[in-house]
Parts: sequence; C-alpha cells; structure tokens
Amino acid sequence: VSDPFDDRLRDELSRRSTAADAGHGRDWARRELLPGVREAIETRPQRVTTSRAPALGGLLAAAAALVVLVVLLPRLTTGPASPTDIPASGAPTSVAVAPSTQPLPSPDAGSVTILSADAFQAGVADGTLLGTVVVVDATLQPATVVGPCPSRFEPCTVGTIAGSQRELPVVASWVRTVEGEGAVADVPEGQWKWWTQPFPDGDSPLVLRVSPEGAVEYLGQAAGLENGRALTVEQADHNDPNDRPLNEVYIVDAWLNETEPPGRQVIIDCYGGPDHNRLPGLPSRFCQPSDSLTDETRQGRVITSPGPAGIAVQRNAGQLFGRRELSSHGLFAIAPRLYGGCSTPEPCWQWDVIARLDPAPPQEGIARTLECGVVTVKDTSGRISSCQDGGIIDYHTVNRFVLNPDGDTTKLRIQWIGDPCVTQVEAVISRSGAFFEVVLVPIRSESGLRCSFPEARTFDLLLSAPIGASEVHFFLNEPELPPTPSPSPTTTPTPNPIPTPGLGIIPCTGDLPNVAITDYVGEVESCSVEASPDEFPHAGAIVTNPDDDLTRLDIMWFSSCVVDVRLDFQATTDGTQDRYDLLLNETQTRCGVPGTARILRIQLNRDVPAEIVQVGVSTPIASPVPQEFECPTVAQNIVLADFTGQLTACEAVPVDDIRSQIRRGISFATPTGDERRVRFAWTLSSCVSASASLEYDFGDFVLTIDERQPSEPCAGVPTEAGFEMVLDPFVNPSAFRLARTESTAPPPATPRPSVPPREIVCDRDGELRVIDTSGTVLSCIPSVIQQIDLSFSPIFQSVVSEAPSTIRIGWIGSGCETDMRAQVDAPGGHPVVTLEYEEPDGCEPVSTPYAFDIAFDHEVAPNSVTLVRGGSPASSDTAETDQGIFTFGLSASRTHYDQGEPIDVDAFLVWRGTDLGNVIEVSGPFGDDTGDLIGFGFEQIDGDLAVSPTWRTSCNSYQLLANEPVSKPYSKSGAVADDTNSGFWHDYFSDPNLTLPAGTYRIFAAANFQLDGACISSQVRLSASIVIEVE
Amino acid sequence: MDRELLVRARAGEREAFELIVVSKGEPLFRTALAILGNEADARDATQETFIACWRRFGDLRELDRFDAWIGRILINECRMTLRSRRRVREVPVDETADLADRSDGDFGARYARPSPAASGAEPSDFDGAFARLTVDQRSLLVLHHLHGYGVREIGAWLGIPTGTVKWRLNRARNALKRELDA
Repeated sequence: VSDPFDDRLRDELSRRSTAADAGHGRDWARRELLPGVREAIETRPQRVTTSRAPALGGLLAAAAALVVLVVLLPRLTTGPASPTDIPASGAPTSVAVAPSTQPLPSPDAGSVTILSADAFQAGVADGTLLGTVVVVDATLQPATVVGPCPSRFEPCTVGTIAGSQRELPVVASWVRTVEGEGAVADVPEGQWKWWTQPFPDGDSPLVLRVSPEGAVEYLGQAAGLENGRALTVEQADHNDPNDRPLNEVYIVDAWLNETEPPGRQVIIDCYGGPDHNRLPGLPSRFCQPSDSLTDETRQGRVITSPGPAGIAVQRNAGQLFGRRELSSHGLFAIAPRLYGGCSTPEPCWQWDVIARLDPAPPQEGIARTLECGVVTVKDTSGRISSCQDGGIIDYHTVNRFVLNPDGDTTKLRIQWIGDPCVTQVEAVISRSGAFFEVVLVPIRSESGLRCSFPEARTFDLLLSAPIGASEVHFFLNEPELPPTPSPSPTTTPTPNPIPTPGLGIIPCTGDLPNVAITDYVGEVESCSVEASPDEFPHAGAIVTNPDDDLTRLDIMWFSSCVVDVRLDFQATTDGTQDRYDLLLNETQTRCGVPGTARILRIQLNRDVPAEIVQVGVSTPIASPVPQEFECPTVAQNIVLADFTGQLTACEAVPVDDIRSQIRRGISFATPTGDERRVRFAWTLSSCVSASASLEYDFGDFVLTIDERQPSEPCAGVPTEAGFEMVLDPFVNPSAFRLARTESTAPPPATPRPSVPPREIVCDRDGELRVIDTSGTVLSCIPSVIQQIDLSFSPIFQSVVSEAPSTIRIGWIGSGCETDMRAQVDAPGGHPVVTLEYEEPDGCEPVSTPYAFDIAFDHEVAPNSVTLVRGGSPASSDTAETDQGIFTFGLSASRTHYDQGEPIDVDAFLVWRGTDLGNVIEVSGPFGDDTGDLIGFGFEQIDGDLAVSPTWRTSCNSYQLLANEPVSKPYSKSGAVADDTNSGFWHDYFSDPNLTLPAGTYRIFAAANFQLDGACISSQVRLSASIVIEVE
Repeated sequence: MDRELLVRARAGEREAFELIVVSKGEPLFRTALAILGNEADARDATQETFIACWRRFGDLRELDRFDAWIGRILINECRMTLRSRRRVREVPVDETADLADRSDGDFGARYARPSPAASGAEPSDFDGAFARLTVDQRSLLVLHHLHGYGVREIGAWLGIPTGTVKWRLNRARNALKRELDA
C-alpha cells in the first residue's frame, strides 16, 4: 500500500537534495569542498599555550596569606603624602608583607593569532568564536546609512566586515572623550557629556569581541604588533596613553596583578589637598589602588603600585579579566581611557585593560588529563583548571547532570547515575561549536553482574573561564552489560564465580535438591527451601521479613511436583522507587499429588523491606511434544493436544451441568472443588468439527478451541459442548486463559435469491442501521458486551446461546463513529456482515465498546457469519490514536515486506499528562518491565493465520511519565491451535523476529490496564492496528 | 568506507582524510541540502562537518560506526548553521529593515538572507512547510524518506531507541502534514 503523502515527501526531498545550482558540478567535493576544508584546517587558530595557572594548593596558600596582608594594610600605609608625590595610579607605598612564593619565570612575548576575514566569519557562524576576543586582518566598512543609535550608551552599528560569505555588522561602544570632541550627550548635570565611538584609522588589524550571542563589537586597532607577537609590558610602557588615540589597542603578554581580591578592600591613606580638582562625571584613579600589568609575576604578593616595571590599569581589571587568580598570565588588550582624577591636570588618559585574548579562539588542542578519584578527566576545551571528586551521592536527588553549584559559573558540577559495578570513569570535556560537551564513559568491572541499585557520582570542574551549565551538553555512554551466568536447572549450581561476596549463584539448602538463586545484586548470603507449615492460598506469593528482621526474607508460594527452582534476584528502579524482583522459574513433573505450599528463606547482607520485593512465578514448558487426548462432548469427541505435559485425562460432563455455565461463547470452572480438575463449556455448531490444544504461556495455561467448518454447506444447530480436564501437577485455575480460532472459512451455502435492500434501525439512538440484502434479518437490537468477550481482538462475534438464530457482534470503537452501517449479505448462503462507519476529523477518541444482536430467520452456527470491519482501517505504516488521556500507536518502517524479511513493528504508548515529570501509576496483568504493558497480535486478512496477545494473570503496577512514550517492538505471545499451520506456528514462536508468509495482515497492538496501582478501577483498553503486505 | 582509510585518517594522515572528504562530500552535501534547503548553508555545513571530523577523529572509537558518527556531526552542523543564521539575522534584520524603510533600502538588503525567490527559485509550499520543522524533524524525514534508512539505522545514527525514532518520525510526518494543510 503506497501512501501518497510518503510518495510526495520522497519526491520533494529528492528535489530539494538535487536543487543545487549549475555551478555545483559533480566534482564539487574535489574542486571546492576539499580546498575549503584544507584552508580551514590550516588557517584556523590553534591553541596558544597551556595554562600556567598555579596549582590549587598554591592558590589557596596565596589566598590565606592575603587575608593576613589585608588586615594589616591600614596600619602599614599610614602617614600623609604630598599630592605631588602621589602617582595618579595609586599610593606610592608598595607593600609586600606576605610571604612571597618563588616568582614564576617571566613570560615570553606571546604570539597573537590574526584571523582572516573569512576565517573570522566562519568562526562566528559556526559558533567557535562566540565569547572570544580576536584580532582580525580585515577592513571595517563604514555604515552607509547614518541613523540614530538606539541609545547614547548602547553599542551602535558602525560598519560591516566584508568577506566571501556574508557581511557581518559590527557595533562599537561609546567611550568618554575630552570636551569638545565626539557627540554631546543630553545627560543630567554631573555626568560626562562628551562621548565618541572608536573607529578604525589605518590598516592595522581589528580587535573584535564576539559576544556569546554572536554580536561583533569593534574594540580598536591592534597597534605595535610585530610579526604577530604581543608586546611585553616594558615595550608597551614606552607609549604614553595621553598621546595615543583611543582606538589604538596594545596587545600585551603580561601578568595581571590584582590588588583587591574578591571580598578584600585596600584602603590607601592619602591626601589630595583642598584644591584637588577632580572632574565630575569621569572616573578617578587619584589616590586609588590600581591593578597592574607586569612582565614578572607578583604571585603571592599584593602591591598597590605597579612599580617601575609595570603598567597601572583600572582598579577592577583583575576582577574582570584575572580569572580569579591573584596574578594571572595572559594576553591583555589595553587602550587609553579618560579619567578625571589624576596627578596631572585633569582630565587625563590612562591605560585600561579592555579585553583578554587568551585562550585564543577555542580549538581542539592538546588533551590534558586530570585525575579525580575514580574519574579521569580528559580536557580538550582548555577551560578546566582542576577537578574535585565529589564521591557517591543519593541518586534519588539527581535530576540534573550539569550544574553550576550555587550559581558559580567558574565551577561545573557533573553528576550522573550509573550502576555500582562501575569502577572507573573517563570524562572527556571538549568544545563543540558554541557549546561544550561532557562525555562520560563508565568502565564496568568485568567481574560484576548487574549489581544493585544505581549510584550517583559527582565531581566538580574548576574552570579558568566561566561556563554556564546551559552551555554544556552531557552524554553518558553506558557500557554493555557483561554476559550473565546461566546455571543449568538440572545440575548442581557451580560455586560462586564472582569474587564479590554474595554476588553470583547461591545454592539453596533444603528439601528440594536443585534450587539456586542467581544474585544480580550482591546481597544474598544464603538460602533454603522447605515445606511451609502454614496454609497458603494457591495463587501468587507472599513475601515477609520474619520477626521483622529486614535482613531476612521469607517467600511462600504454592506449587507441586517441582523438580528444581531457579531464582533470579535483581534490583530495579524507576528513578524514584526502588524495588527488588525475585523471579521463581520452576520445572515441574508428574507426581500425582496435590500441590504444596513452600517457603524460601533468604539471608541477606543488608536490609531489604519485604514491601519492596516483588515475586514472580513462572513455569517453563515441560513437554514441547504434544500428547493427544480425546475429550468426549455431547456433539462430538474433540482431540486435545497437550503441550504442557500435565494433562492426565479429559472427561465428559453432563449437558445439564454445563448448560447453565454457557453465557457467552466459552466459559470454564472448577465445579468439583478439586483444583486439579478444570471444566470448559461453550456453544458449538453441529456443523463444525473442533479440536483443542493446551499450552503454557509465561506460566499461564492457554486452552485454544479450533473450529473447522465443513466443506459442504451445512445448516448448523448450536449445541452445548464441554469437557473436564484433569491436570497433574496442580494448576491454579485462575492461570487459565481461553482462545477460540477458526482454522477454515465457512463453506458456501445454498445461495438465496437476492432481495431488495431493507433498512432496519437498531434503536440505540439510531446508531446502527442494518442494510439487509439477504432477506434473512428479522431484527436488530442494541446489546451489552463484556470486555472479556472482546479480549484483545478488535472485533467479536458470537451466537446468543438463548436464541440460536441471533448473532451478537461487538467491537471496540473510538466513540467517534458516525453513520454506522451493518450490511448483511448472503452471497454464498451464509450471512456476511460488513460493518462500516465514518470517523470525522478532530474528534477526540475514547475507547468505546459497541454491541448489537442481529436476529435471523433461521438458526445460525457460530462462525458461519463472516464479519468484516469496514470504515477507515489504518493502512499506512503508522497508526496513532488519542484515546482519552492516552495516545497509543503502532508503526512499521514500511507497509511492504518481502517474505522472510523481519517485519519491524513498534507500538508506543504516551500518557498525555499536563506537566512534564508527572507520573501516573497504572496496573494490570503485565509483567515486571515496561514492555509487557503492550501486547501484539496479527490476523491475516487474506488467509487464516491469526494470533492474539496474552497477558499474565497477576496484577502488577507500572509508572508512566507524562509525555514520555513507552515503546515496545513486536513481541510474541499468545496461543494458537492450528493443525494446518502447526509448522508455521512452531517457526513463529521460535523465531525472535516477526516474519510472515506472503499475504496481507492486520498487525495490532493492545494495552490493557487500570488507572491505579492495584488493578481496582475500571480498565483502559487501547488498541491500534496497521495493515502490511508481505510479498 | 574503506576501513584502512579510516584507520589512516584517524591516525592523522591528511591524505587519507582528504580521500574521505572527496568520497563523502557529495552525499553529505545532498543530505544537508535536503535538510537546510539552501545551497550556501549546505556547503557551509558540509565543510564544517569535515573540519569537525578531522579535529575529532580521535574520539571515534568504533570505525564501523563512521557513517553514523559523521552523520551526527552533519546534523549538528546543520543545526548550528540554522542557529547561527538566525543569530546573524535577528538583530540586524529588524534594525536594518527600519533603516531601509527610512533611507536607501540597500542597507537592509545587504543583511537579509537571500530568499529562494531572490535566487531565482520560487519557494514551494513544501519548502515553506518543511522550513518550519525543527532540524531534528527534518533530519529524520530526510534520513528515512530520502535515503531510505530504517528506523534501526537512524536510531544508531542519533543514539536513540528504535521506538523513539518511530515516535519522532511519526511526529515529524504529522507536523509536516499540518504545516502543509495550514
């Protein structure tokens, strides 16, 4: 089935992918792409240097010394000083009282990477230059339109940088200038009025700042660069800022020394004199401490003067550009800025640090490795100074993987949830475009199994430059699980192969010879099995902590004829709730005695409350080769193929005993109270011959009745049928499920002469109109149908036993159906009922059962009516419906498959909660994992293959996260009794993939659960189907 | 892809890497073009993909997954291209549109991204609708409906479960349908 939309989509995308212009030749990759890649690789800036940041210990020592220093400062700087002696940049008194560390070597003049205009544009476009300051060999074209700037104090567009790709707009900030220059700002009295924007003059490279958002700001023109080398402080100091234009920027390779580390204030006791003329509206450096640039480190010392070999810069330069290091080495851009408090006539020009250029534009560089407890940090971003191991934390509290602790962007805290078997973690930190990537690769212990509940680990990265947590993409590469041991249930368990105490296979002592626990958690010390002295119900299992001792678990369950028990002890969690799963896999044999309550005692090495232990019991198939029994009924003897190995006899029952039990198509009971006996009764057409099979399915018994139609036309008469099975060992009757199939199509009946169509309205609000062309319909009335009748089949039909000429039809609809019609024809003599309806767009579907009884003028046998569901079946590769608060869907990658080709079908279920993170608890007959929430089946439209899903009989709960789809690939369950296709079914169940013979199939999925945690409230039934074709 | 070539390229052999560029360049460009719908952007994204590939080759542990790996890089680059295109456009376009209205108009035109119409091709309804999808949605549709990758392969590309791929693919198709119907 070809979907027109998919065809169009493919065509349009094909058109888009080939829509390159004529200049894009076949050899484009060689002609243009390769040279472009080459150039970019060769010309894009490389990392400048590795960090010279002091070790954390040294930094802390320096900080500790600083505390002493600052406390002492006021007393050490007493005494008046003449204004004329006081340099504008700070006090004359140099104070160095803290113990001095060994000065680091003077840095060499660093190289400055000068980008081409194209490389710069590319770096801005791909995000690698965001948040950086770079030097670019480009020309700034003035803006041709002179328009008002948005605000006098906001950056304003001054021009563009031309390049091969596109023109980049460039803004410039306003800076103060001397009176009479620039533009006059309309500002209140007391504020500085004369402002200007720097603009290039000459051919020197541009110094540009790229904001994190991608805006480009012109800072000035790089002056004094020789052969791409930055100036030393000594070289830069030859320039007097009073003589230099304000757009001239000097790149200095220096140590930036901070006078006032955060939280400390240096007070200089000086006197400016009564006539000191400080200009209002301008910043002042008079009698102020200043930070400084020097060629040698001042590490460990705090000075209030740059000294003769330094350049004084603004007071907060270290705070802005020093990266929280007392003395920080880097490439700094300095430019003249106007001050109003100077030792010379005001105003005056002083050096300000306006930017920091290192690290150079981020680039893949030499990896640096840091050891951090079990975490090995491999840093290629150049931003990591050090790391601190935070150890193990409660994983329930982890809801974010990357954060800035206390909002501090100089730290990144990485935390993740893994399993406790992880012994080593490799963390790779790199830059990716405008973002950073943290990739964690946990390395699991080879000797470990799945271990216990998850553990959360954390470590902090101390950064050399701020990084917001939102700039970091986090990836966790979970390693593959090691293979788990598979103990043979019939052999003596091997000794614990795992060196970890308690982790591995634990043999249990007691009256059963072959019982062992495979401990995936590492918490089982020992175990034993014995007969329980207490009465115990036959269904399920009970878990207790005997004597309230949380280190012991007693599990009671009912079984008989057990050969061995293999137990899996596992820990699972949904992130908020921890749970232990204990799965009992029994193997049984015939023994001729009723069942026995048993008790499994487990000694643990830690506290495990019984209420968080969930027990599942399953009994594997005991007899893959069927044994046939003859089951006598009133109408005929039915051959029953027993695949369980537990059927010992099949006996007749009186008609009167079963007549009262027939309410619907089939029923069962244990009438004698002997739980080894299970009786079945149903209505059987006298025309058909029936066979049956009994199979295991996940611990349940499935009895399937297969009814074959006669080859000749036959007017069937409904008759009661029933038999009683005797099972050994004991079988919990609640574990029985019933299925009914029809392995052959009804034979053609004697054609009746066609009659004019007659319309009969079923008077339930006139919902259904019966259009009868067979001339056999007498009436139609709405009816009630049990959910169980519908089972997981999308449609249901049955003879009403009290009125053998009446057929009851039912199905689960969307509630959106309108104009429902049941066309009744009898082309071959037998009625064919075709259901059709419309479903208007925009209707919110709600799972709705429909049922109608159609009475004919003659008796009809079961399955002699062919029921076809019309309307609008899904025929695409995806079916999705919103049913109430759920969306349920089914999808395949396509609608056509070849024979033998695996058909990939997935179903998904979404609870459309109101808020992300909300959780809803549902319960139902599904198993322990999410997958069992959804079951699958199929029916062949042009053939007789069909299977419906089966569920466990126990009640389990599961949590659905709002708007988080739960998906499950097609899985096989169900029971069939189809002699003619037994080979297919054998292959079907043994093949892990879904492969089907040629034909057209409706694949369907169903989810069946209740909106509570205990299977109490009304059921939600969801279903979806798609049609695929196998050729 | 020749495994030996990949081994040599990962070891830093430029010649081997350039052979990969030549052989993989065109198909990656076609993919980017289908996703982005703009030739210049597609070329940028393809070039950036190979630059990132060269610089991050050492991160590739399983050479058998090279195609998926470089495919993911391409999709990321497409995302970055669109993001940076929006970033470059956003402020100046508004600003310059006003300026253009007030003055000679060339100023605005220089900043605006050339529309398909301006470059000679009339934008189709499909292109308009497709452009309103996210890059992830576009990528899924291109990988599945243009290149015919199965959901398992796409899941391997994107590192997400098969069921999630189907879910997202279905969502993307529905979103595109809605856009086309709008």
